[in-house]
Order: sequence, then structure tokens, then C-alpha cells
Amino acid sequence: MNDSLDWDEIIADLGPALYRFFLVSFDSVRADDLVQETIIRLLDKVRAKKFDPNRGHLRMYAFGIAHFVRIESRRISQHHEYQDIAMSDVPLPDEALDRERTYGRLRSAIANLSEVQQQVLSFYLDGELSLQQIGVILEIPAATVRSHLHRAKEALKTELISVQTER
Amino acid sequence: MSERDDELDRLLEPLKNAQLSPGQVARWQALAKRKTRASVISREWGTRALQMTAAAFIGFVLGALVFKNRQEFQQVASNFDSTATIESVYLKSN
Repeated sequence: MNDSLDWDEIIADLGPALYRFFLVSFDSVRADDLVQETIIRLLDKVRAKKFDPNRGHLRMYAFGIAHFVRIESRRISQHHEYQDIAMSDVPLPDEALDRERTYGRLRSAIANLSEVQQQVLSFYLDGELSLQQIGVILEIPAATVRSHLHRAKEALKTELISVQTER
Repeated sequence: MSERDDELDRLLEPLKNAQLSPGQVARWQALAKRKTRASVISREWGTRALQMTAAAFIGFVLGALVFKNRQEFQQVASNFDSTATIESVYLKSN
């Protein structure tokens, strides 16, 4: 293990960003699980000396791992259909329920976007990574990231407006 | 040129402002501590196992050097006298 790293500080900084990253596609319970999975994989990789600080920031490396965790989890979700907590029978306080419903609406709209648009949005959300860095992780040019974001925004606007008019 | 799109940021606001539940970060930090501690323990055990294997190997090599063949071993044994000191046994053998 790289003893010079202050993991408390790294996780305090990185954890919330990863949580929001997963929250784009998953409910809060699943997002929490996936943050833990990413942290475990990150620790394992740093311990195995697979992370080279000369080749990039730990933050970007962590988001790269999160990207794969997300892909794997989406694949599993397709088979097992994870239930959204807002729709489940688990009792939640009113405030938490409202919050989950708001996320749920936005997530439903995001779920109708293409896979690559969803990925780009997940990375864009927190403003932690530049478009260039997002492009490096997704292996596409920064200009393509920008155009995916633009198309995602237009699609989201249409989706959310249609949800509002239905209500 | 700014990379942020204000309109998109507004659309994503509910997710951007997502609140973590109390103790959520502390739980992740505790998880990292457990994993770090486990790795240190396994590393210590690994070092100890390596030391024991190396010691056993060195023991075999030294044993082989001291008793190169069965005859020499037998000679030492035949010269051994339960009342003799180790020095006298070595004197007899050489």
C-alpha cells in the first residue's frame, strides 16, 4: 500500500463525487454500494502498484475504475432489474421520499438517452473532470464529448417537459 | 471558453445537489481503513512465511555441506561417545 496517501482525505474528497456519478444511473442505495465497490478496487489497484502517479491523477484513475464498475453494474441490472427504492416497499421519511422521486424522474429521463450520452452526463455532472479528461476515459475526442452533451441536454429538456405536461 | 453549460447544469441540479446521508463518508473511510489494515496484516504474514522458507532452505544447504555424504556422517556417529565432550568427538573425527 502506498503509505504516503491519506485515504481519509482522498475518500472525503472523492466519495461524494463518485456517489453523484453513480446517482445519474442508479438509486441512492445502489449508488452507495457502487462507491464502495470502486473504493475497494481503487485500494487493490494502488496496493498492486497498478496506479502510476506520473501517468495521471488518482482522481481520474478512480473515475476510470468507476466507469467500468458502472458498465458492469448496468450489465447485471439488465438481467436482474434492480428496483428503484422510491418504488419499493421500504418506508422512507417524507423528505427522503421526495428526494428519491425527484432523482427518479430525472433518472427516468436520463435512462431514455443513449448509453454514451448517459456516460458523458455521469462524468460531466460534478464538474470534476474537463471535457478533455472525459474524452480520455471514454476514448473519444473532446469535441465529441461536447456534442454528446448538447444532444443529451436537448433530449433531457424534451423528456422532462413531457413528464411535466403529463402530471 | 467555459466548459459548463448553464442550461444543462440547471436540468441536472437535483442530482448535483444530492445530499449524502449522515455518516456515509465515514462508512467509506472505515471501509478503506479495514482494507488497508487487512493488507498490512497479509503483508506481514507473507514476510514471515518467506523468512521461514528461507531459513529452512539455508538449514538444508548447511546440513548438506556439513554431512556431504552418509559415510562422513556415520564416521562422526561412530566416534561419538556419550561421556565425551563435543571437542573430543571432533578431534577423533579429524
